Amino acid sequence: MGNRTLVIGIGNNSRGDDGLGWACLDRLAERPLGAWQLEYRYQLAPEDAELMAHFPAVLFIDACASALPGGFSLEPCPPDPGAGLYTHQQTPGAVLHLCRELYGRQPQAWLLRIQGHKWTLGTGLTKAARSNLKQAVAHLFQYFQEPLAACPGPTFLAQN
Amino acid sequence: MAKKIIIDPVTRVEGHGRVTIHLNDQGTVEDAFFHIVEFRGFERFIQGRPYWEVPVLVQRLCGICPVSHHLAAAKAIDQLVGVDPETLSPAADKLRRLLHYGQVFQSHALHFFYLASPDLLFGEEQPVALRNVVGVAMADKELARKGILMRKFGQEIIRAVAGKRIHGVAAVPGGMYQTFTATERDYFLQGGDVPSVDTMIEWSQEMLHFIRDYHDEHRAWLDTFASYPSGHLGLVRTDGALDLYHGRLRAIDSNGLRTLADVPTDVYAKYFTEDVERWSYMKFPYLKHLGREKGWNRVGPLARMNVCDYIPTPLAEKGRRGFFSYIGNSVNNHTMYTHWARLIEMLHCAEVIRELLNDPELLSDDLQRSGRQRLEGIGIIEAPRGTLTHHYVVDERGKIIRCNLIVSTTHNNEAMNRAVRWVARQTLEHQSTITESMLNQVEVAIRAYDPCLSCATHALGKMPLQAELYDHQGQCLQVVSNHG
Repeated sequence: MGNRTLVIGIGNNSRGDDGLGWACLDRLAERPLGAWQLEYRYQLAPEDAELMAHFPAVLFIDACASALPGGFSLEPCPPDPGAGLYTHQQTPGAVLHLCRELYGRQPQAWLLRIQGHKWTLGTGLTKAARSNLKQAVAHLFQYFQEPLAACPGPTFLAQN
Repeated sequence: MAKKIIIDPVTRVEGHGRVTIHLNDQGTVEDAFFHIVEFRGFERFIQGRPYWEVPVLVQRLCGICPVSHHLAAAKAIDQLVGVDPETLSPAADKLRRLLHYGQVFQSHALHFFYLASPDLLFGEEQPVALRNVVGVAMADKELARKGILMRKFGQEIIRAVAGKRIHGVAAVPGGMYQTFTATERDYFLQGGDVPSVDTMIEWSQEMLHFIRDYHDEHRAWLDTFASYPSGHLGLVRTDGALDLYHGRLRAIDSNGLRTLADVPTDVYAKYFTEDVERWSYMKFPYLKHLGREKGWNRVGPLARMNVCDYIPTPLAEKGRRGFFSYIGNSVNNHTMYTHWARLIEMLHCAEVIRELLNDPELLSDDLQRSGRQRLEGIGIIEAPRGTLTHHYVVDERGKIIRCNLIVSTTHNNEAMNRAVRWVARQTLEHQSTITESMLNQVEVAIRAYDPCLSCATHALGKMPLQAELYDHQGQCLQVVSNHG
């Protein structure tokens, strides 16, 4: 897998705007930038730590219920030792922490959050969510002119 | 002063449940209940849908065991197109078995390593912040790494057969959609991104040694905690062997006497009925001829160990014999031995997967059969958590007009309620203060059954736990929080 980038979309496209993470992957698949590996997830689980240990860079994409300026945010995502309390429903930071602890790897990681508005049963995004998605994808392609793996700083720790 | 304790939601289980414990003025437990408080209604809303949609629709019951619902429904739908398990093509039968045993393997791995192991490794006195999968990973990295890869192996088997790890499509009416390839077979035999099937067998044996040693160290607790007599129900082959995909229904009482003597699955309704309680959306199934009080049964790994005569793979059979010689009885009614039984089944699944991978017929493209259309179909399977029943009736146009699902966790409803009462009486009676560790013991008993409350009723549970202690006037006396 070498210099590939792992992109994980989190959500459920049967719950309205919770499908934003998967919809974003669909957009990336239409216009791939470099060597991306796309993974669709309902939720993160401990085995994702094993998967991301094979990649130098990871991008998480998830819907967000909170208000975000411009409808999305893209931020670095550090390992979070204090977040892994829910066993088979993990946060990105908790899985990165597991990855570091179990496999001695710390991929460069980002979290793209896209604001959603409606979370009830049903497929399809709201108009506002679709607009936020469009802005987020445009920003993503602009920000990452190169594959994420080319960004500086994938850290490999001593295997323990 | 009378009190009521509420644990809501119960953690490290699939779905949303609540426990209430009622104490009287003397601090004695008067009663305790395990409630399922949300409603799904799958049986209702698939009515009117064409039968061929059902195996795909019902997968949405669950994100953990969608394959079990897919295959139970497929077995029922096979009958609607005139195909019985005995007339399914050999290749389709083997592909379904590969899918099913991969599913049970990954589900058992998830439960043991992610959900139950914190209870076993740390004990209830340890801080709640430690009692989770990250805590396990910090305490025993080798165990955690193996657990993750064992679950991944089962998931990759599912992906190979069904196209996706969750909610794939494999079975179609009368057979299977696509065959297995030699490349896929070799991947699992020789190993790739996941270790080989031989490694899975080796690691499963290691886990059996681990749980045996654990029982040696904690025998007093494991032989008594939430232990009570019950019936046991499961599928067996006609020769009495364990079979997770198809067989006859056998039930025994707590002493091993047969209460249901190997009846065909398509007559289940003659023997089983279900009761309801106003305080839960989950029903209570039982054997009609024994009545509600005596006719309920545990299902799942422990029940399957108890009802089968033997396991048809050598290493798991050796494990089963060791299991029963350890306790010295022919029937085991100790709830906490369910974990041991689950690990024996993991080994069995890995052995079966190896057998199937080495079977040339797995690569055959003779995948579908058809027959004379029928109006009723019944599919029963041994899901990871126990006996799972799908029953459909269609009209002449093939639209579903009636559906009955008896999910594994529903069979265990009575058993889990008794477990809650047992623990409440042993740990909470006459206590001036209710601690988080006391409440966790209630959850430990429930978790042993690996309940899937999503399947049994409804979906996502919020994970934080909060217990509130009320007096008889409804005044909150104490709040105990848990985030495990």
